[in-house]
This record gives sequence, C-alpha cells and structure tokens, in this order.
Amino acid sequence: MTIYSFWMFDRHCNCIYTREWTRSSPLVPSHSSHSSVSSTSSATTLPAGAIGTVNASNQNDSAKLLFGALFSLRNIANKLGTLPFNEDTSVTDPLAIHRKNSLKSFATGKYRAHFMETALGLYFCILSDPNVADLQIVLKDLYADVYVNHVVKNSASDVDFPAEEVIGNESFVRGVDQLITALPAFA
Amino acid sequence: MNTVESQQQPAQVNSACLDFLLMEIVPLSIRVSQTIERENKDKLRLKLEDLSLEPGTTHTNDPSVNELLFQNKDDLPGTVKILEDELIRSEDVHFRIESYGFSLGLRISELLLSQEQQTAHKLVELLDVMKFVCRDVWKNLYGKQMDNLRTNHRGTFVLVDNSLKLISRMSSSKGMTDTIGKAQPYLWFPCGIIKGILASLGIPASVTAEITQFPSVSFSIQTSIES
Repeated sequence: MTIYSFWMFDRHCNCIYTREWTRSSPLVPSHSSHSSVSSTSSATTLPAGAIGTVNASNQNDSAKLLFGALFSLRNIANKLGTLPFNEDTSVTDPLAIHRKNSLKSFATGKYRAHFMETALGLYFCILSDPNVADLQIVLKDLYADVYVNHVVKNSASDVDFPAEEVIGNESFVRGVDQLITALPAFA
Repeated sequence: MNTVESQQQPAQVNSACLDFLLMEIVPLSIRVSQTIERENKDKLRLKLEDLSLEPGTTHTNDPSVNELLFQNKDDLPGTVKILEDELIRSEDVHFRIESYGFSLGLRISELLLSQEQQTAHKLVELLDVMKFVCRDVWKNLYGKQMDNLRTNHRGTFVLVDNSLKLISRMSSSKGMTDTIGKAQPYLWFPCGIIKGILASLGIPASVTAEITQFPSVSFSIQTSIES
C-alpha cells in the first residue's frame, strides 16, 4: 500500500498544487516527455529531507486529464444521485451540494483516486494504491486543517489564485507532508 | 486576540475573524498610499497642463486611458501581489500602520487600568510599566505573555515574543527571506501599540521591532528616562 500523489484544483479549474511522493507515480510517466516550460519554472523547492516533487506537474497533461476525469465523474455522480433528476432544484438550492450523491473515489487496476469537493469548489484528490481504504477523513483534514491554517490564515498567501499561480509556501508543503507521511497507508 | 471583558457581560470575539481583519492592515495601508500617490500625480499633471501653452493638445487624451496607467492591475481580490509593491517599505506606510497601533494602545491601557485598579497602583517604576506591557497587555492582545524581558537599567528594554501571533502563520512562496520581508511591516502595528501604551502613561519612547528568528520578534524600547 502506498500513496503516490496529492492534487488540488481551484474553482477556476486550475491545478494549484501537486505533490508527488513516489519515484514512479502511475499517472505521470516521466517529466522529460512533457517539455512544458511553465511546469519547471513554477516548481517549488522542497523542504530538506523530503522526496519527490512539488508543483512540478501543474500544467502538464496528467493534471488536465485528472481534472477532466474527476469533473466528469463528479457530474455523473451528482446526476445519478438526484434521480429523478430535476434540473431546477439544483439551481435554486445553494445547499444542494451537501445532499448530492458526491464522488468519493474511483479505482482502476493500478491506482485509486480519493476525491473531495469543498462547498466553495476546491477539489482535493489523493492518488494511491487500489488497496488503500477510504481517505475521506484525510482529505477533510487537508482542507480544514492544513489548507485553512497555512493558506487562508497566512497573510502572505493568495486565497484566490490567478492563472498559473500555485500554492508554493513552505509551511503548507510541510503541513501536507506531515499529514500524509504519517498515515499507515503511506508506508 | 481576546477582548477585555467587562465583569457584567463577558463578550467574545472570534479570533479568526479578528486575525483576518488584522491581516488587512498592511495591504490597506499600501492601498491608501497608492491612492494618495496617484492623486498627487494627477494634480501635478493638471498643473502642468495649466502651465502649458497649448492646453488643447493634452486634453485630447481620453482620461480613462491615463487612469488605467496608475491603477495597480495586479491587485486582485484574494491575492497578495500588493505586498510586492515597493511602497511597503515607505515611511508613509510605516507611520500609518504605527499610528493605527498607537491609538489602539492609548485605548487599551485606559481600558486595562480602569478595570484593575490594583495594577495601576503598582506602576511606579519604568520596569513595572514594562512588566505591565509584557504580562497584562500582551495577554489581552495575544492570549500569551511576552517570553523574555531584558533591560540595561539605563532606559533601554528588550521584549521578546517567541511567536508573535500576528505574523506566526505567514509563509511566502518565495522562501524565508521573502516571508520576513513581508512580515516586517506588520510589526509596526504592535510597535505602535507599545508606544501608545507608554505614551498614555507619560513615557515618551521609541520602539523598534526585529525578527530575530522567525516567528520570534524582539521589541527594543528606548526611553529617555533613566531608572
């Protein structure tokens, strides 16, 4: 069992944070094949002793494909959950999202994507081994603890990210790493 | 930051909301300076136009086009690009932030001393006043005491807070040096508070703050009174 990577997308559909821990993440074949200029320039330096990459894949195709997959599955899940589907209620009721049949994870032969969407439209996604059980609590912690404390309460950090801007502050990187690497599933 | 509670009705303030409000001190101050600067430039431009022999030619410009040049297009809601503005180092911003703190300090010392009459009687020497700042004031402002108090017994005091709440959560994406650079202007606020409190007790002082090891801050207080 292992956890491969962590991805965040904001409500403008931009990838604002990527963290890949493993040497061979299944989604990202190799960085050299995507010779994207922006992906290298936006890469954030890692705290000492950490492995993998931070914000190295925000602009490459994997990020876009992952976002597309999550977005589509989330929409299908929402639609299926509200059968008989009524277009009007979901528009008029702002809290409809909480009652929706929300996407929690999807699995393929080699990995599982754990997903959480916040009420304000942030996407949190962890890619792991397919054997890793539900990580909803971890995603919730990443949002309510790490993100809120190191981004929202951080007066030197953006909270609404312009295009191609990413979360690059070190305390956030450290906070995510501490939470994830301490998980039994990470080993 | 806890509010000072009166005996009858203990009131509480959501600390996160207050933190968010205090986070706006520096951006607000920079924006005020930007606006003043812009207005001055506009006035200067108008004066130059008045002086020029051919006023007609300058007036052909669409004013809305000129307007855009002075506005900071990077300053979008939810972003912190404003902290990159060079005005952050200006004396104008410095004094504005300090004066916010100063008037807060005047009020806070009034409030604290009116509630605890015994404390007021204890403030005999300069050192007592500093202890009052370290204990009572800091506890009411930040929920903790200052971590260290040193003096040379000749009017100079150094107060150390090992984790100043105002800046302790700051972390810039450009690393520690950049974080410290952006945190520094926030320190003028507590400097102003200390200055205000001392001024309310009749002690003129100059207060400077320095980030020794982030987020540890040491305040140097220089008074002319020898104790």
